[in-house]
Amino acid sequence: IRDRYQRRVRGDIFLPRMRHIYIASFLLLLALLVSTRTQVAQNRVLVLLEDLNLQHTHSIFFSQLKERGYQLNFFSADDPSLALTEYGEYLYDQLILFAPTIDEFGGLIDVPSILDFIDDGHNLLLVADIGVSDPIREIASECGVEFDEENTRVIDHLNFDIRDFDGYHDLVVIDPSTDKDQITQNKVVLPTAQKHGPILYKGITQSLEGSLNFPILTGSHSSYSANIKSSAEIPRTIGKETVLVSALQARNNARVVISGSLSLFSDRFFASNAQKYRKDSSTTPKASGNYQFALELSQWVFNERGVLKASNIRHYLAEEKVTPSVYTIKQDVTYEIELQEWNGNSWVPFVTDGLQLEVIMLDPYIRTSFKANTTGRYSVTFKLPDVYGVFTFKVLFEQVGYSSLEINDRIPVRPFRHNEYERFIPTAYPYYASCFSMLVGLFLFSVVYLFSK
Amino acid sequence: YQRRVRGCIAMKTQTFARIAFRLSSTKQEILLRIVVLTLIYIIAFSTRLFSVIRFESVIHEFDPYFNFRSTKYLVNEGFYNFINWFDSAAWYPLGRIVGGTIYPGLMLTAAAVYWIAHFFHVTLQIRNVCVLLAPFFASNTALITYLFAKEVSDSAGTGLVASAMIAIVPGYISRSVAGSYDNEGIAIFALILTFYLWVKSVKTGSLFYSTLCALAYFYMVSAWGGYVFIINLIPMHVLILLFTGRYSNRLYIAYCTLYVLGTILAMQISFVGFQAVQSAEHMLALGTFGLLQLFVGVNWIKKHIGAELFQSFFRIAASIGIGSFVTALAIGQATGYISPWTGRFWTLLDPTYAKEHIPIIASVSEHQPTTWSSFFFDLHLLVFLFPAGMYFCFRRLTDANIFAILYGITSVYFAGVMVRLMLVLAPISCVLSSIAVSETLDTYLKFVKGRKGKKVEEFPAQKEIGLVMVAGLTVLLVLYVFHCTWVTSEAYSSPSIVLAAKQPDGSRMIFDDFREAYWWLRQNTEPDARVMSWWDYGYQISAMANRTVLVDNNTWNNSHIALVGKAFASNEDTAYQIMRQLDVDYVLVIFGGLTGYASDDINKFLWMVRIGGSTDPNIKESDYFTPSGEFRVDSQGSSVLLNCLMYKLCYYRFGQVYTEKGRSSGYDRVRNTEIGNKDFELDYLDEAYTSQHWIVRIYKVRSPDNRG
Repeated sequence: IRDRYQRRVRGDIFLPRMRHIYIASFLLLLALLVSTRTQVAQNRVLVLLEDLNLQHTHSIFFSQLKERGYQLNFFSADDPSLALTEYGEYLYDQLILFAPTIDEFGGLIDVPSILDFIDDGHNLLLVADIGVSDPIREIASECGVEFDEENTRVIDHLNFDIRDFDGYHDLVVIDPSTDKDQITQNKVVLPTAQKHGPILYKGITQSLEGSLNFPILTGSHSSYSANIKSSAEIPRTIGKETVLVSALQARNNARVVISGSLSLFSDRFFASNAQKYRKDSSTTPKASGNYQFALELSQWVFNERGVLKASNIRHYLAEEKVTPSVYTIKQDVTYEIELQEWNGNSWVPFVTDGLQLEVIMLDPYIRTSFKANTTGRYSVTFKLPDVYGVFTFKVLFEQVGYSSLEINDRIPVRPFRHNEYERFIPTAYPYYASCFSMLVGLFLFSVVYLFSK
Repeated sequence: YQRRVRGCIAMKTQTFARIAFRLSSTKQEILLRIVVLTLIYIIAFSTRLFSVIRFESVIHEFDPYFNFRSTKYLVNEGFYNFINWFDSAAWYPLGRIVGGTIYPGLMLTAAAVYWIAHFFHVTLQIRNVCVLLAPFFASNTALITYLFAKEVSDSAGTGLVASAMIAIVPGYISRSVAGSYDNEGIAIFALILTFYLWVKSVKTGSLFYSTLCALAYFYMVSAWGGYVFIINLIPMHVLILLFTGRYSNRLYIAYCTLYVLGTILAMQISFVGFQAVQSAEHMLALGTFGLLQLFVGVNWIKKHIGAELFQSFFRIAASIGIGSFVTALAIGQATGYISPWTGRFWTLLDPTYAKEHIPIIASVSEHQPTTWSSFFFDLHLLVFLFPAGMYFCFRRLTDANIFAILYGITSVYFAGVMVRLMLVLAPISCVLSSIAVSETLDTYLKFVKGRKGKKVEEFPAQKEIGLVMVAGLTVLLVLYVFHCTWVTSEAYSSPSIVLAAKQPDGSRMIFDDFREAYWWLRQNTEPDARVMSWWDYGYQISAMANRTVLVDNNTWNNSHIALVGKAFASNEDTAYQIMRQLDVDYVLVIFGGLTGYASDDINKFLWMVRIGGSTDPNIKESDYFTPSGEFRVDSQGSSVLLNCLMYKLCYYRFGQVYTEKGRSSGYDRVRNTEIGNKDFELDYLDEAYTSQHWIVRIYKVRSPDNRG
């Protein structure tokens, strides 16, 4: 009935007239073109700057983005002509916020519109710094990140750069080659940055509140966050809790990277050397790894890596190779799925041995692994349990860095029909025998009783 | 012209009268009887049509909606798909095997009427067939009652009185008005038919009638769970006849045929299956069957061997027989082969059983004990005539009379335990009352007429006394007719799916919120959306909104209902966990605070707490009361109540509404109090739809926060 009903509705929309069909097919073609374009190239980037000078002080970062094919649209964050959408369509695919101390956004942009931008599946690179303003705090807070109080900064008296010897020790050095626990080892988010030079960081700290956030760069055991002007206060975050750069992958797979330092992306840090201060001068100056770190971070946040898609999802009866609208208990079912990963240019097969299928009705009845293969096509055959109900075939793939996949198929599983039970059971033969012997016996008895006089 | 027409009519009447006079007096009586029965047939049908005329041709209440939906399925998909129907839109995610958990008689009857009508190209709508099936069967019941009463009392006049009485008795009308498309509608017909054929077969000892009786019993089994009443009452009748020395071979033939054939047939209904030989409710019938064989066998042996030898033989045989029977029973009970007594049956024997043990049974209003007033309301004059009829039966005992007495006594008891079983009492009280009425009239009409041959009165003022008695009885019977019509019109003819209220100026106001909201669900939600509501509304949602429900009026899984009850009784956080686990998309609540509709979810709420608490000890009924033990929704109410999901969904935004003049905002017109928690927001749900008078409120469950 549902099908019939839907068909009728569809019929109402497409009136059976040739002219309408032409228009419809034209629109369909157009929609197809538009959709392929947006799917492959998400290259329209809005860059909101606190000060247009940042274009020049952070020119290396922006130019490498341009080289990768992004159209950068630079605006001052309080520009009155700003807008994220026009006629309900987004004008940009990605947003870079280099405006840590902005008090009010210009134009039609405000905090809720930026949050809607994320909730509609777009990505955000949010950069804060010492003296972060309320709107930026609010965005971060809505994304599960709390910045430390005003005018605080990360300080580390054991891991500062040698140039900061006489300063506040707030120019922190993280050396990926030795401080492995301070930088994420996830190869999807940062494939090579762990092998490059030390990372210079100067800025505010954050603490992660949400369940979907994960740290990318953290302070060392000896780092803490404090206001340099009133040192008597107890630091809000200490040791490894001082998160410096973090990421959020929302449930709709929108990505947000939040950094507490603007200078992390600056030309000055990209170009300079970094050397941890040690009393015994055991360290040597090395070229900073900031460039590689920022590059790989921007690749991840703009969906160039770790994006998965599932296609050719099918389940069918293992023998008949057809998908019924209702399964019957104890049937053998095959579930197929194909996974692909976006490598920046094209979709390539995604190979993993961590993919599982769950067959759930209130509780999981079956939990089975797909076998990994090189083509990215996964298939598993299983026997439905001897329980009827509406089962959910669930494939859930959640790994940090990768976009998460959740595919739910709700399929009713019915008990046997009255004529599907086994007809002749060996254990029933004694009963058959007793029935027929009774029949024959009664007949014989009747004959004997009636005719023997 | 008018004069000519009048003349024509007059001529026709004259011809009719002339034909009637030409007939012999027996033929006249038969003609009269047919005319009376035809009138009764028409009256029985038409008195049940109040609801159709006042509202529209619509299915009533809750259960009938399921019956209606499954009848449509049967008509569309055919018989085999129907008995194999697995309904995945109910009891999500468990599903329900409909074919194996219903009594299919009702749907098959309606479908048969539909198919027959369509075979003759009468294009009836299936809905109209369903709406009018109960009145149609009520008319048939009236006919069968005529036969039954005639068989019991051996007098056609008694039959006519009984038939006229049952045609309009409110206790039966309450379950058989047009639109009340429920099992009971046809089951009473089947019940009386079975009893009629039983009495007939006991009287005649005919294999033909007892086979027909078994078939009628089969129809009853296929129609209603109340068949258990028959399969216990008939063995009781047999036993009493046996113990009072009224045993005859007629009885043996009637009972053995009925039991063997009836049981085999009953087992064909998949919902009954092996219960017919295993469950405790059927053991009396089996035992009686065995006893009857034993009795006959012993008599046979006694005839062949002498009395002395027989005594010792009897002692040995009896001890072995009883011993093996008790052992078999004990083993059966211990291994669970003979299933334990089900809750509903215990409720019949012990009215307090359900309240203490099974909240889900006690929560249904029709399972409550009957009040005295409702006896009078549903039976009126019959309450007083019933014992009189019983007296007349005792005065002249026959096999058939004993059956009527037995039926009367047991059904009075059952009707006292459960309101719903008033339905079973109504027919027999009509029969017994009709015996009383016709015996009385017989006696006193003779006084009035005077006996033939005796001109002298037996005692002074005989004729006057006769006249007074006859007149008095006539007045009472007329009052009975008025009462029945008034009750039918006022109490039993509202569909409950559409509510009506009288406005101050006397005009009627219609609240059509239920259908409005269900239609909204049908039009505006995903086809596979899952709707959580209290189980009362499950059948209506699946039939009218065509959406998946979690629980419905077929309360087969207590723990699933308890989970829903727990969700409604918990705070929003806990409820959200449960709703996510059950894949709930929409939540539907019924709220009467704005209109004063009293049977809303807040008034039912304590049952949700009790049922929820029956599986989860964390839900305690006492938490929802004030320290002094009151259930109140105002500012004095317990904070657990004021923050639970049900409270929030019912009273969301209600705090800003002015309902009555001179009262502050948020004044609840059912509880007559100002609500205690007015300003709150919902964290996990969004209001999706609220019907015109706020009776139905629908909320959409939010998906988890995108950013964690």
